[in-house]
Amino acid sequence: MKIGRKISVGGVVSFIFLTVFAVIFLFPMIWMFLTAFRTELDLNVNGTSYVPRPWSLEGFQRAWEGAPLLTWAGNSIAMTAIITVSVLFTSTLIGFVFARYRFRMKKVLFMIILATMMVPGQILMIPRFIMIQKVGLYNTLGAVIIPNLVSIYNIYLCKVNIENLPESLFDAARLDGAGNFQMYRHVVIPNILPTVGTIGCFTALSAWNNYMDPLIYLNDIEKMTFPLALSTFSGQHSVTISATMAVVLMNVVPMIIVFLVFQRYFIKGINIVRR
Amino acid sequence: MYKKLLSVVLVMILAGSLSACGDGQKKEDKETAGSEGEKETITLWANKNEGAYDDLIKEFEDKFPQYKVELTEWSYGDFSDKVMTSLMPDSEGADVYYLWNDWIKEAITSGAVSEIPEELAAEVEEDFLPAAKEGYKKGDTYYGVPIESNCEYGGMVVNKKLFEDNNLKYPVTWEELRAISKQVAVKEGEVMKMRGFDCIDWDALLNNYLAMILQQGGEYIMEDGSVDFATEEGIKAFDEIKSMIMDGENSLESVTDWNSTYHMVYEGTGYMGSVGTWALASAAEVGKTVGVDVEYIPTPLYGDELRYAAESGWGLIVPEKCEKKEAAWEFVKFWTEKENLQKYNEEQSQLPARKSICEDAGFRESCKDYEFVLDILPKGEYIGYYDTTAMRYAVINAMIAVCTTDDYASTKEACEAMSKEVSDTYFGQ
Amino acid sequence: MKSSKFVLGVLVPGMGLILLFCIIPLIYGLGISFCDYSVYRTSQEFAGLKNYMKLLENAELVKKIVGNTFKYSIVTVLGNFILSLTIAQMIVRMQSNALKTIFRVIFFLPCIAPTVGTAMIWKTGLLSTNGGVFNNILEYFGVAVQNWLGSTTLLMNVIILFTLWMDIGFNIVIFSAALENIPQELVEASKVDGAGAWYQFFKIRLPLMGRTFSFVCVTTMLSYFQAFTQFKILSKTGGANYSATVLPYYIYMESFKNNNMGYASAIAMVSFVLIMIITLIQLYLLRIDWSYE
Repeated sequence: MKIGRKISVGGVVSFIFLTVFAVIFLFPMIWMFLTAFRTELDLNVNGTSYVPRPWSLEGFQRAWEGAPLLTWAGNSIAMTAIITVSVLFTSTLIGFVFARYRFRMKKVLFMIILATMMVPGQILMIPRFIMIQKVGLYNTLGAVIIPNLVSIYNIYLCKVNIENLPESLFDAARLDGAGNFQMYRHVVIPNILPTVGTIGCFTALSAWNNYMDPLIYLNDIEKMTFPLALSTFSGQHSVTISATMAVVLMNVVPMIIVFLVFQRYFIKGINIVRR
Repeated sequence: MYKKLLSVVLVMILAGSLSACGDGQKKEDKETAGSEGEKETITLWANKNEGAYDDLIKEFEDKFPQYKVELTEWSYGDFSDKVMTSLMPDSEGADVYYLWNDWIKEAITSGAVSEIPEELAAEVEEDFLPAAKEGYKKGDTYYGVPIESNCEYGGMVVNKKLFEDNNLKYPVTWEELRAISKQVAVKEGEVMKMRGFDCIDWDALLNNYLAMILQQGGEYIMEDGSVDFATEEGIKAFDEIKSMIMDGENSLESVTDWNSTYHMVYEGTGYMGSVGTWALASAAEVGKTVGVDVEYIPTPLYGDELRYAAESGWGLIVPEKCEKKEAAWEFVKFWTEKENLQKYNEEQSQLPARKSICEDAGFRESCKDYEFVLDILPKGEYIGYYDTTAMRYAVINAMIAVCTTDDYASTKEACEAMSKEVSDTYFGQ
Repeated sequence: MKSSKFVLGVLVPGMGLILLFCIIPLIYGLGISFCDYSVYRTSQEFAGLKNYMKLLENAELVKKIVGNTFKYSIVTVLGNFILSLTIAQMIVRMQSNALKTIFRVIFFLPCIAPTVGTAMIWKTGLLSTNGGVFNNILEYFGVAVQNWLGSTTLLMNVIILFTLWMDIGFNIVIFSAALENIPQELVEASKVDGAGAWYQFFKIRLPLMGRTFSFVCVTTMLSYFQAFTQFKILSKTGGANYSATVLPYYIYMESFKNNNMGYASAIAMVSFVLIMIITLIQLYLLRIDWSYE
């Protein structure tokens, strides 16, 4: 930033606008934060106020006692790590192949890949469940991990990005005698780092928040993942709001860290821009 | 060369994740092998209810040392999905399920649930209340044993303080009920500040509506198994509930907020809320005492004769594919024996499914706050072989549509739409 | 480029997984749509076109639900684009990196939390009739309070609003990164030519983001067409007379609550074809050469 650069009127207006919007955006999250520290009695009696009276850890205590949170968090971390690493790897590689190589059936294969993005998820649930049983993954962490090792959305994202890299980069590498994998390692990856950051962030997020897969594919409570705690405190007739909000809060914190780590990469910009 | 490198990495990822699961598998095998040495393990899946099953399981294991019970508790919202997927033919699940009847009607029709042993069937036939057991039946065969009666009609919680402070007496007739309800209700904009008689939430709306049809001497189940709400009685009852909403005595908020009528009564923003006796247990959570701040009293009849419909509630089933049926049924039998079941019902403040428990003096003593309900339990008529969730959706949505939109030209039209939706879910008998 | 060994080495494992967990289940789903399907049976009864005939019988209702789905996705996609582009543009104008990061994090926060959780926050904290933030604000200004989730007209709008809140963070992040990457010379050049801020935005920045924009356009539409969780939590009954029922929720209700797996699969197939057509139209309009070689 240049010192003395004049601050434009537009900049000030933008700042005010953004601040107002940010406050509105934050509000539900602040409500969640405050509610996590309230007691159930307080919630029932002072339904119309938002500030805890008294501040209490009752919600966290209930959450802690009501579910094996540590085990679930451990499973979630392992699952998220494996899926994220694998998706980063498979999406960039497959995207690279689709973007830069010519082979038979390419168009058809890519059409198929795209088409599978368009299938309503609800209808895949039962057939996928049956497939999981057939390949012997039922009630194993593999059932939650293996189907998610490849992500079609991210393959598509990578393909678009890699296509946009100038041909000259590859020509230069080829002149140096680089092979396919070296090209991938030394040309593709360094040039699509922002995309890698985006994918890493989004994939970790969706893996971490995956709720349905563990629920239906796993039978043993100790194999479950963290988001299951979201529904643990919903009973037949009522929901323990404070405990649920405590879980939401605990669920969000690690992902904020992940976001802060990965977002450094996309500050530099995403390369899809140049064509 | 690249290919090799690549396949190595891919294989590593796959192997890594496979071994993660492989471990789980092995551990599990070891566990069962270890305990199978002398004991047979029965797995039980139940609704999450901290500590509610411990005594029972311990007593069973003491009495039958050859068995060991392994309990997994699922939260209410997750349990129905688990029941469905685990009852599929190639899937794995528990040996005994303690579940909500509506979840397994389809499974019973499809033969995924096993018949109960003859001896137990005779007992169910003899000593269990009709509304509680019908849902576990297909044709003349029983596929499960009810644990409790699910009675959502007949009583209401009242805010005693509000009645006393305003010198009002509890209503005895329907006219009195409506009069008080109109008198005390306050509505601002679309939102209720004070409710009179509230019978509009997930459970209460359907149950009050059906009872109001039956009490006029009407029926909603036709002889061919279809449902018809567009009868004279069905339309009248629907209009009666609609008039409460239109007059501002209660509102549709609870069905959309996912709230329950009794909350408002406890909070002091409602006089009367139609609800099952289970609601009394949560009075303490909001710092209210039953008998002092709130009370449970009979809902005045809409018609001349007490009639109402009830669905089957929580009960025990054993899947058809279960490999330890004998042990599983032994456990079910133990749980549903009169003494054990009575103790369980008492601890959990459940309404009994067994006639003999209903009549038991000791048990009646334990439910002094709502003893009158035990007398009306045997009068409950089975709600019908339909998906009761779909029934609730149908009535709730029809009521919202009639009260807030012009989608239907008349109540009759709404009742016809409801009838069609519910009839479609008939399970056949 | 050509190198069959490398291509095979990459595609075989990758496509294998896609085949196993996406394509085979899809074909299986197609099969189910021709059956009287019950998950509890090992063998299924073939029902021919029965499920598709039922779809025709219910044409009126299906039309309504498809209409809802379109209304929801189009309004949400437009709202999403207007808001996220505006906000992204403003974030890019901030001169300190710390400010940029703070705003990015704030707008991204709702995306970080699981939808089940955020939908519950809205339901119990913002929208509840008694003590909800929305109604408290109305009350403060002396406006008549509303039953947000009850009134059939409000319900859909509330869900749209929720979706915007929950989801624009993704696009803000992507757009602000893309905008940041536009070569400064081009922007400066246009400034010299005396172009106004909006002119600059529409004529220079937007076209330069072309690929990003098209990609986001297609994928956002795809994801809204399949939106499910927010409907499940905010409108559990699907709204009076199906006023807030969209295709994914209808499929879910029919398959899991009403035990009509076959019929639900038939709807899903129709929905699949619809999405495909929309995507193709979008790709055509946006001129994406998606097999670009």
